[in-house]
Amino acid sequence: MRLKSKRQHLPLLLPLYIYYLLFLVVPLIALFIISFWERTSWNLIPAFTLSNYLKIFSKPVYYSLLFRSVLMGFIIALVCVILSYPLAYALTFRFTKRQDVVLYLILISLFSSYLVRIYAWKTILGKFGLINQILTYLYIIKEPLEFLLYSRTAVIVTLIFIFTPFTLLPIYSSLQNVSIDFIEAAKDLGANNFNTLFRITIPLSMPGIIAGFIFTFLLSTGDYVTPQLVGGTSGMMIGKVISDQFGIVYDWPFGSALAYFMIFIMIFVVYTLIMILKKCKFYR
Amino acid sequence: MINILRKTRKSFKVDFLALYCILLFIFLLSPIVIIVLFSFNASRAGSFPMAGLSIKWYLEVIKSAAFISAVKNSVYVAISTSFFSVLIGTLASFGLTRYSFKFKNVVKLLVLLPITIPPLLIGISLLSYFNIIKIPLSLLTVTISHLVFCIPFVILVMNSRLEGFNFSIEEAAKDLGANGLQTFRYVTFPIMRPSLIGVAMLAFALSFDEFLITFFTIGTDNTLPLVIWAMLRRGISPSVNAISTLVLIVSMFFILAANKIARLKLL
Repeated sequence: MRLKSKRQHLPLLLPLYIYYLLFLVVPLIALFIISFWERTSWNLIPAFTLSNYLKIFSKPVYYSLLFRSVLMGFIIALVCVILSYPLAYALTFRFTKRQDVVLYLILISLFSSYLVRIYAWKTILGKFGLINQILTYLYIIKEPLEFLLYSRTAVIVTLIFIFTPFTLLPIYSSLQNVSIDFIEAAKDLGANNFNTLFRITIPLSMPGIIAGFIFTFLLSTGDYVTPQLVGGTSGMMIGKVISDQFGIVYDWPFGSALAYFMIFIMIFVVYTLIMILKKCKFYR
Repeated sequence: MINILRKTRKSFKVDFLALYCILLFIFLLSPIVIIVLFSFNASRAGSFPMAGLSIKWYLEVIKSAAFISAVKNSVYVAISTSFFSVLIGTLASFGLTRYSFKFKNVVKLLVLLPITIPPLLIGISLLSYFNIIKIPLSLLTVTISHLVFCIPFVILVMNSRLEGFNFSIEEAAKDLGANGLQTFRYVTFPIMRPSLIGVAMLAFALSFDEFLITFFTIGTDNTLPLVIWAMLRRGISPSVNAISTLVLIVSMFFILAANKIARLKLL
């Protein structure tokens, strides 16, 4: 394909650049600046203070919650990748006939309303929810189990449910680049299924796996609705604390500092992970 | 005989991968099915087996004024978001796929970045920003915030479409004497039309459902997800199931229609 050069692309891209500048870049910078401000009980005062960041370490509530949320996000992303990989694999190499149906099913679970899906798990895990009803009905338990809802596990299960179809997308698209010829060649040369999978298919689809992992890690760590609806006190996550600073608590500077510190930690984790994978020659 | 036995044994061999996929789909889809089922439940308590079928929750929902105004607001926001995201995104996609320029690959990745930014961060940063530059929160600020995450999706889909676009058709039109505008009007646009409709529907569905960012940028108005949220906070009322099902139907319709028309290359 012949691509024209010159500067003709600029007018086409200009609206986008302006939009992103005005409503993405500048707001993010504004948020960063606010994280150094002070607040009184009524309003915000422009200033330069690090006290908001120091406050994160003043109470273990904040930093332990932050690290716990990052850990939860990490686990969720890992499980999502492990759960969605076989489906992406099957979709690429096995269900070629029924691919359309399967893709529709994935689209349904991906795009059905976010709130509704969280709420659905509330009805499943609740005290009078589906699981308890079934277990009582089968005489396995007498009293409803109360630990199902409002726990860390409930948050993790719900977020895995929400992000699995999302993780699938990049993995599926990277598997499109794995030619079936490579797999057959490996098998012809005597590799068993296990070796073919771990030495050919997975390394070749690594960019998709990493993209899926990063997406899910970033989005699930920063979630603030799921912990509120199914988390209770033990399933609390940092996103809820941040969102509260912009609502009832009204401490925007502290909320901004927490948000930026969270982003910083997440980027650090992602960077470390990529470095480790590169070291292990899993990913170039 | 042995041969037949072997054959039958082979056909009875458990296909673990298929079994796994079915289980995964049960995990992914059954919660949605349960909500839809409960929305027709006659009794107040969400218990199985259901007491009977009824549409009274739907009637209750449709009669409520809060629901009607929220639907209007949601549709208004979703249509404006859809229009402007397709406009800005498609122009950008043309620029990204038709011309080569410095750092093109970096730009291509950067414009998709908002998809990976936690919505919480976009929400609170826009809230602070609107507050600083003194724009009052309204449906306009909601639309602005929706555009931030809808545009990347439009670009993502349009890029994959435009990359497969056969330029020689346009050149043929020009060789046959069409000017730039005519080429666009009679050649490029008709080919692009299904993709444009599809991607507009995708943006509509994304915006219609959005809660995480809207929560911060909405002010005193209400969109449908905000109404659902308020109901969830108040405690579980069965009409939540009915509203949820209605929202599900709308977004499903748009997504599936979009996929049918344009074969969204999201996957």
